[in-house]
Amino acid sequence: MRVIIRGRLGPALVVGMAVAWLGGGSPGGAHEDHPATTPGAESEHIHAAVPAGYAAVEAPPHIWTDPAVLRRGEAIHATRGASCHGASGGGDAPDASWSGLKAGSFQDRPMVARMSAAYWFWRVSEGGLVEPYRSKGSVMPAYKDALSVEDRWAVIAFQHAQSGHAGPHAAAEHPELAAGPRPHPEPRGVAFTSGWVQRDHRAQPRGPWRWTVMRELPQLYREFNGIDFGHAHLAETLLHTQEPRAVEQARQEVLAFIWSSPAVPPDEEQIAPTFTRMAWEVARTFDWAHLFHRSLYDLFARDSVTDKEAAYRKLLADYLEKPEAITPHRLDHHEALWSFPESRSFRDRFRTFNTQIWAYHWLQAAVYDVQLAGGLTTQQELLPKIIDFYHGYLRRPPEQWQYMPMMPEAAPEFARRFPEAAAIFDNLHMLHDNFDDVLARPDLYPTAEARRGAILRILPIYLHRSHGVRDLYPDFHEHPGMVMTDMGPRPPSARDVLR
Amino acid sequence: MSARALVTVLCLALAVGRAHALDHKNLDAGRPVRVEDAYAIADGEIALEAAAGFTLEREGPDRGVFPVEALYGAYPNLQLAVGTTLSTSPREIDGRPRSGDLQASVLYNFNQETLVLPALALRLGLEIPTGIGSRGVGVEVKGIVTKSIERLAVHLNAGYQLLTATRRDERAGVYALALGASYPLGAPWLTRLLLVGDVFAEQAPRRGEAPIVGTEIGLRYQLTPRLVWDVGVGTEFAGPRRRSDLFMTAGVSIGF
Repeated sequence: MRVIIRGRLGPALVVGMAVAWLGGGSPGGAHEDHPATTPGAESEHIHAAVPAGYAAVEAPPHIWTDPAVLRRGEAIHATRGASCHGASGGGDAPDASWSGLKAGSFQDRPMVARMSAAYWFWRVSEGGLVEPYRSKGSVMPAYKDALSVEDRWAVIAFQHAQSGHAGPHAAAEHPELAAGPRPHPEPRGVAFTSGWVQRDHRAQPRGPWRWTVMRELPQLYREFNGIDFGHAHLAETLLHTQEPRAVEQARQEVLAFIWSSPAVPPDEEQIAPTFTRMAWEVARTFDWAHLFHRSLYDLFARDSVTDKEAAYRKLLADYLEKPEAITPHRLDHHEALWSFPESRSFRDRFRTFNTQIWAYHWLQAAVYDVQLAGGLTTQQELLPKIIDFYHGYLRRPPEQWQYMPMMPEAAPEFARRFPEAAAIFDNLHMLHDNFDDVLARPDLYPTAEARRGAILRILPIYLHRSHGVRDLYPDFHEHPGMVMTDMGPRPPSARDVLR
Repeated sequence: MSARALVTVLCLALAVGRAHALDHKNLDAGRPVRVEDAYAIADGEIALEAAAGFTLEREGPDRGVFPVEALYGAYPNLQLAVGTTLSTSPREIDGRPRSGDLQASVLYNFNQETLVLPALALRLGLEIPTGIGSRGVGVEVKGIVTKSIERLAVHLNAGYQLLTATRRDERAGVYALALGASYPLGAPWLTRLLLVGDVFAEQAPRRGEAPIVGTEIGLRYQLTPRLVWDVGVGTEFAGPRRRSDLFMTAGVSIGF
């Protein structure tokens, strides 16, 4: 498990990174953790967001300490949950990992402390019938018909007591519970209140570097074309279905497209017609940032441009002039921007597809450090190795990653020399994650209007127009001195791969 | 005169040309059918479009036609265009434009299409009588609407052209309507091939003659990121005797 130091570490962040979302104890058989077949997943727990039908459920306040309820719960646990979770809830019963997901341990006190009563009740009620657990092979029964509401709360209360916590399972006792999801902020400064939006289609900035990647690094050019298809096809798929098999089929279709080595950039408006018309402001934001990406690849591949720093400054200024340019400030991706009600839903429900997307982002980052390693000849020599490594990720998506790859990890040299672009691209990739999370929660956002509203309340946080001397979103910025830790397995840098 | 017009167009295109991408699905009049979409080419984009075709006339000599046009995305959502069409048998052309007439236009796109709103655009065109046997000026105003259902885009064009220096038997103004649709064949896997077709009606140039009504269909195919090939075929199936039984065009659009 790698520790990444980005700055100051707040205690909540340390605990949060270690436990939140990943750790999760569970209910009377309710909570399941890591896929039993996945090695090295000791700390991984799938702690999915609670669906709307259960989100408002509250536990009767007395159950946690009522001896009669606890005795009743113990009896139920002995017959219903002990075979998987163990008699004392330690997750160590003989059947704990016989198939699918391994049963959780209720003796994992930090994990139990973060598990809301609503989540617990949902898991006991629905068992392995719901996503993401069903897709992960959960064999946990659903108890909503077998146990009354009172009995389900009783077994939850007993299991909670196995953590060693004698008081009520409430925010007053567990500060972790009080954190809750962060509501989408109301727009501060830039707001998208009108359905009337201009197209503002911009051409790629001109310069002697234009088309260099297409001409001189054609394999890389085609990989990027494949990636363009991947984002658009996912968005359109999620707008039409959440059915795991359909989404998995879409992932396979993306892979087939990438393997076809497309010579021409696909037209994202034709791949994702609903998405692009639903939130053109976001599509435009993506489009301009991708153009900036492509311009920089062209620039660093062009040997005849000797003052690349000056050309970079010109391209950066040109990009930041655009109304929906993404801020070059470093934002807090791991906490503030991933704490909304829908956050992590896409990652937790469609882990394979999610990490496939993160593999795209790893390639997009790693390429820069290869380009900075030398001129075009060097790039032509080294890039096939990076692309081969990336293809390995496509064949077997790195599901061990819990957080998206960051530019300073995959391309530390680029991030050091061109910090504005590195921050823009990390922010861009996080915006992709935010958007996919919204699309993955039709229960929270059932209509196109609701999805548009959710994403357009997040978008202004990212926009350069909302950032200046007096930032409008200081609470969403990475703080100087912040430390990120316990992020689990992390991606290698380009240099690591080439070594 | 027509050669001079062609040189003018080419000089304009080459003077400003540098590398750039091409929006292959952007529909402009004549590439390969007359219906246009409501979108301008990208800000900063430059494209040169040229074609060769023929028209088999119901009455009068058949002709070869050679349109050429330069496009420039001058500002966001604003497209400038200048071009001409050269024809064989130029003196046999009835109506406008004449072979070698210089045509300039400005297209402004007001908005991006959403799930509810269509995209709207206004196009102002100017026809200058630089061609053979040409006289008078034509000024056209055209409204363009694009609305899509999933990947099928429907385009409505409605224009009116005011003409000066007309003869007594000629109309001083003519309307033109076109209703078309475009669809990316093979999407989402393939987004390089666009099928486009339309039906159109326009007032005949002479007073008392029935409107010309026709239909056309074509394809646009993106060969490379900078090169789009197109082909179209059509017929004018109703109208005055001097109309086209069959017309066809094949051309390219090149991004600089």
